Amino acid sequence: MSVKSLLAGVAACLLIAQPTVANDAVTEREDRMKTLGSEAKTMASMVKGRSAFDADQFSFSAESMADAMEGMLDLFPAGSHGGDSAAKAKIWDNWEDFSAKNQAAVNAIAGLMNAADEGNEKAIKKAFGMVGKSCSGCHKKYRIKRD
Amino acid sequence: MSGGVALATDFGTFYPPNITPDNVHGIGFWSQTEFNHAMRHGISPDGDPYYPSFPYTSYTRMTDADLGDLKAYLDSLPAIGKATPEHDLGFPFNLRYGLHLWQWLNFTPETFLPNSHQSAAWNRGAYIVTGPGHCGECHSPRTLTMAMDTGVHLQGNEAGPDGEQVPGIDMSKRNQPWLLDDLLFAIQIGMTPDGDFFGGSMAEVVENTSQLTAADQHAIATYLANPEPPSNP
Ligand code: HEC
Ligand code: HEC
Repeated sequence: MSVKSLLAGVAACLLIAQPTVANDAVTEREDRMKTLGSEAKTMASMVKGRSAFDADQFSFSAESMADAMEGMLDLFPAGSHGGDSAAKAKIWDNWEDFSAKNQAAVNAIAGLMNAADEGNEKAIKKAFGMVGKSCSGCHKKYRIKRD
Repeated sequence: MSGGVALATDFGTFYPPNITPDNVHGIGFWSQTEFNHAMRHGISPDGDPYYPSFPYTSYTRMTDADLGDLKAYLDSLPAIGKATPEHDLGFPFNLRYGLHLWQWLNFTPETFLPNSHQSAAWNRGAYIVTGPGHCGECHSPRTLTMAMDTGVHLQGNEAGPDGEQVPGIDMSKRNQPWLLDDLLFAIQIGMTPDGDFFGGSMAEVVENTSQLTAADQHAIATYLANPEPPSNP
């Protein structure tokens, strides 16, 4: 193997390695988002009265959401949009705002955890609505439509 | 009205951009005729068409009296010489798909023909969806002339705004229709039955629908569960 083709191979690896890191982040954040979605679905079905109201389930779901949100911002490395990702490029032009929207969700989830611990059904449903708004608040600006 | 000043309506409180009578930054120089013409036909006082993003196809349902009331109301506001933020286009361009202010005012739907076979909630929903809510602007396919194709009302649009493919929302046409409370969640907090949340322009729409009264949200959901083309009530 000539030095030249070896170098070409290394260069190709570098080229491939770059997007792979981003791809991992995209996959990971999409998985985390799916967790958020599935917990939201579980809770919504209680709010809609399709399953029995259970404050403990809210606690559990909210905690799972809080875990999924842990370090979320790190999963949005600059420029990791396009391809299969539904993230909008403007995330990185508005990083401060994006971070604030992330924090708003973290706070709303913490609020839901508190309400769930206190066990008041009305307060829990309200807190769940706030969480939903925080999800929408970020998707509105930074996520393209679902496919 | 110049941004940041709240306007309380039956549909909630809004913080609209500058549509005060200010002559420079507002719409003070508009005559009633120009105003009506812009609203109904999508033609600005300069003769520029707002077409196609301006949803005048829905606004034509507004009566002269409604438009007169609206203009009088806007004119009664103190003029504020403040530009709208840069990313906002001037009025009424900034009423992107009309979802910012006045169409949410509780106009009397005089041009709307109620269907006597349907409930009051259904009729109210039909009015909001086909009139001031103009959901069909995105959710109905458009013919070549960009008029809304009422024959396939609310059945989705391959080429929506910003190149978005917009799903159909006529639940009577679906194998697995969303139930009433699914629809309510969608317009209240932007949530889908599978726990996902809208992105794209629908998330902006939810900013407004989330502010409607519970009765009006219920009316929209009731109508979407089984709508009919507005031309065929
Ligand atoms: C700070 C911004 C932000 C917040 C807050 C946020 N999301 Fe997301 N969400 C995104 C972005 C951006 C994507 C697209 C990610 C991608 O495809 O790269 C997304 C994608 C999703 C997806 C689709 C995942 C997939 O690929 O199938 C779901 C479901 C979801 N979010 C649910 C939620 C829920 C539920 C909440 C609230 C608890 C929430 N999100 C809060 C930004 C956010
Ligand atoms: C500016 C364009 C636009 C307007 C106006 C609009 N929508 Fe939507 N709507 C969308 C888009 C785009 C989606 C897909 C969003 C996504 O999946 O993230 C959607 C999705 C929906 C859905 C979910 C359908 C599904 O199968 O996922 C419902 C319900 C809905 N809209 C109701 C309404 C109602 C009611 C109105 C009027 C008050 C309205 N929409 C006005 C663009 C619009």
